[in-house]
Amino acid sequence: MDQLTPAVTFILLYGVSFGIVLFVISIGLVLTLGLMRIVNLAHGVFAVLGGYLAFKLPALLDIGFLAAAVTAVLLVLLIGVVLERVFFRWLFGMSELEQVLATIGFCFAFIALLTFAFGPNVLATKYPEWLSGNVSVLGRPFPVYRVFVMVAGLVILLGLWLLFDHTSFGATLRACVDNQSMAKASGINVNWYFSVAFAIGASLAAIGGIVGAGMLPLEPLYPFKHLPLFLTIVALSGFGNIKASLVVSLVVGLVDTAGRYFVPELGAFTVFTLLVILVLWRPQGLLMGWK
Amino acid sequence: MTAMLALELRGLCKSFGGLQVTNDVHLGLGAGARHALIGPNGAGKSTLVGLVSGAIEPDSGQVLSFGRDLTRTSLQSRVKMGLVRSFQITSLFPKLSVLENVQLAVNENTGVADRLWQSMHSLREQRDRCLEILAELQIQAQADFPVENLSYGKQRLVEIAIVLALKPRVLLLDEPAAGIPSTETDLLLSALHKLPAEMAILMIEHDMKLVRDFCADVTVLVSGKVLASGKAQEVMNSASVRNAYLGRSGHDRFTGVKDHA
Amino acid sequence: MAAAGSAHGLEVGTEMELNKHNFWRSRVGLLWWLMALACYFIFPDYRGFGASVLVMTLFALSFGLALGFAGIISLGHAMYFGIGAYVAGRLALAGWQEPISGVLISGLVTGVLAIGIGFVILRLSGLPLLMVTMALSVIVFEAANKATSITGGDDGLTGVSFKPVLGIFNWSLDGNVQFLYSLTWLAVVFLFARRLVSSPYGLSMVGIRENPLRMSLLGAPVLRRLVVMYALCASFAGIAGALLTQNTAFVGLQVLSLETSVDVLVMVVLGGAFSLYGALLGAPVYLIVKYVTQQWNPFYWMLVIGVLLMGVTFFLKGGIAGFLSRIFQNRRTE
Repeated sequence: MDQLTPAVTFILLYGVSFGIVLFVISIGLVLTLGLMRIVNLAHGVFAVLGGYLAFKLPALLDIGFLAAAVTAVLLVLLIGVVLERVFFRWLFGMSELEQVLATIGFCFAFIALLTFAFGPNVLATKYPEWLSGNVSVLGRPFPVYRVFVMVAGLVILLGLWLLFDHTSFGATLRACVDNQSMAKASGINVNWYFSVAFAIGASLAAIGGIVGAGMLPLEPLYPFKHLPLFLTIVALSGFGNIKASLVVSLVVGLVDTAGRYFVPELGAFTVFTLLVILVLWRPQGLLMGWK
Repeated sequence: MTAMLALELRGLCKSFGGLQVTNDVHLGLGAGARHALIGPNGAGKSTLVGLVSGAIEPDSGQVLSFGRDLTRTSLQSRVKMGLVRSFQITSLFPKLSVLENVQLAVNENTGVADRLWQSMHSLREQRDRCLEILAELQIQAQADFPVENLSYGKQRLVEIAIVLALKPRVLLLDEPAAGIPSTETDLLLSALHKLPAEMAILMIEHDMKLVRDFCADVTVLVSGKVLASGKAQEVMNSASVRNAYLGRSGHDRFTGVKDHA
Repeated sequence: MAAAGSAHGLEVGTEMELNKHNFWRSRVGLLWWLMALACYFIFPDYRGFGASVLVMTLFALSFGLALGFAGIISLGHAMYFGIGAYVAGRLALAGWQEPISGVLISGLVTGVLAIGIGFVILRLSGLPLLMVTMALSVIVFEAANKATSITGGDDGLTGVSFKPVLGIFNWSLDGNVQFLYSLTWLAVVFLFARRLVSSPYGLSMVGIRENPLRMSLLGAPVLRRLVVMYALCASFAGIAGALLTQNTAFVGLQVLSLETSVDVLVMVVLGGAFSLYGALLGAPVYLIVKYVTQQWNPFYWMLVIGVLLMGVTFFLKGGIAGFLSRIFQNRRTE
């Protein structure tokens, strides 16, 4: 009994912090799928790009980590806007298969570019001083970094909540998700909202990539390697359903952490087994409106 | 001794959420029936068709055909037993040719569709039957055209061809004339008249002219309930039925002044 | 008479249509087989490589049938490929070293497995199906990774050897037997697939792909038909996997990976998902491009493939086969 409580607490803490990272990265994917009905298998590129930029810029521009992180997010935002116009926009009317193919293609090309720029190996990331070290939780060390992740997550959540529930922008965006044709008929420039949502998603992914580099190491193969994980979250969340994706991300984070802890032989198993079970149990419920 | 009814609906009820869409519907069609199902929009006609075809399961009640209770049988089984429906909005195989569309139905009907080893060429009998049906409907000239290239009127004919290929004993025609410009309805009409006499036909329609031309019996459905049922003339002249089709427009439709809403 | 130009591009159609299709199709088709055989003589140093290409072509064919024909979008087909490979490997290690029967057993195992899996997952379609197939194959990969006693884990199965084909043809390092053996298997499966495609069953599969609801309203047992198709495709994939094991005398985890599933998806799409020859065109092109670009820089090929994929999706609908088909159609109307 005495052994269990700290174990459970730690699983909770690690699982939740992991889940938060997954959530922040996946929001963009959920939005894109919900708003634009586009399956973007290349979404991970924004996360990894943000991460790479944040950790490379300090040396390059001789600035602090925080400044680099902010710059990185802004850069990814910019790149996201451009890419949306130039590439992702055209996926709009295509069949699922074509979207899958085009975005996988984009993913591959991007991975190649990343390899060219940064080399094929995992980037050894070192967070600044104020993020290293441990705090004591129940008498055991718990990384400050993880605390930071959870705090950052809360801040982002708060920001999102304010944005979606308390601004007219957010309300309109939600209207676009819920009923596109009505929104269009009311004269809302749905396309503009799409672009903005896409940009938000890309920036959030960048933040997730930067903040989560300690859990999801940065490497060129990142977008492909973690694709199953991101897709799992999106699949279980439904369309444009941010609240659901928060719950799902936390569950995935917890299941993965707990799984690795209790049954280490199974490793990544647990999450995917969960996915298979859930999708089979409620195929209509889980991805409502798909078919 | 009464002959077995080709199609019998006993006390069919269906509700979605809190809404009672089908309310204790009773209906009987004998072999060779030409029966129309009419009613204002939202009356629950589509749901009824779904219940009969097997796409929707009723909350209570029964669907019978020639004495057999079909209420719990699957879509596919009902088709095999001769209960076939056509679609209001054409549901074909757009990229396939007209011939292929009909052949799909013929293959299923003659039980050859499961054969992996046989070449389509060798299925002479099936091919001939297809061409026969196409000729009946006068669309054999378009046999090799992809269905999506045909005019809507011709597509409706392909729709009829497909249901004919299934040799139904009971046919549910869901608004066969829907969407066809008036210039093309004659072809459809003559096709309908050529349908086998012993086939029981339940037709859902808004086109009163078509109903008058084609159907001997009429059932009126309003808000999921049967309002009236009987010989076409009587039902169409009944005051309560006219009232159900609110207003002048309804009145005119029934007295033959107007054909459509 | 209008050219129906069926987008499904397979040998389904009226007699008149069929004759026209067949004339060009069998010409081009024959050319492919002749070229494949010619490669044996023209590139004697590459027979081993050629054998792998042929094996992957077979794998691509199995996937192309599922995708283009039955409309089953799967990111997990490597599961069957890999299982077939491991079954063949374990059979050999257990003493069953007769190659042809080994291949057939692998195919049978994967086929039966797919029947069970198919009945459960083929109720889904679209993105949910994609997800489940991907998840399943990741699960199998992880399981194989951990079950080192069966699969050899990261190191793979080594020491796998086989008796000569038909008792006469000895396996050797120069790849002679591998090439011709694989080519034969490919031809056999291809002929089977072609028969399948031009059968009434084949037509019903196209119907199921185009409008599954209508098919069930024609009385067709849709799920059952899909499962049969899926099982056949899984069998073919298993056969391809077994061939790989026999050719290389080795089985590694790579055969079960997500990359392999994506690879085969790319090959089929590149070649043209709606044509039987799509796999035959896409696989060699993809693999040769991969081989050549990997010589420059291991990651350049990802750039090339990425660009190719995007290009094919946006500009070359129907892949290479579709492109060729359009050329031949134009020639026909001259």
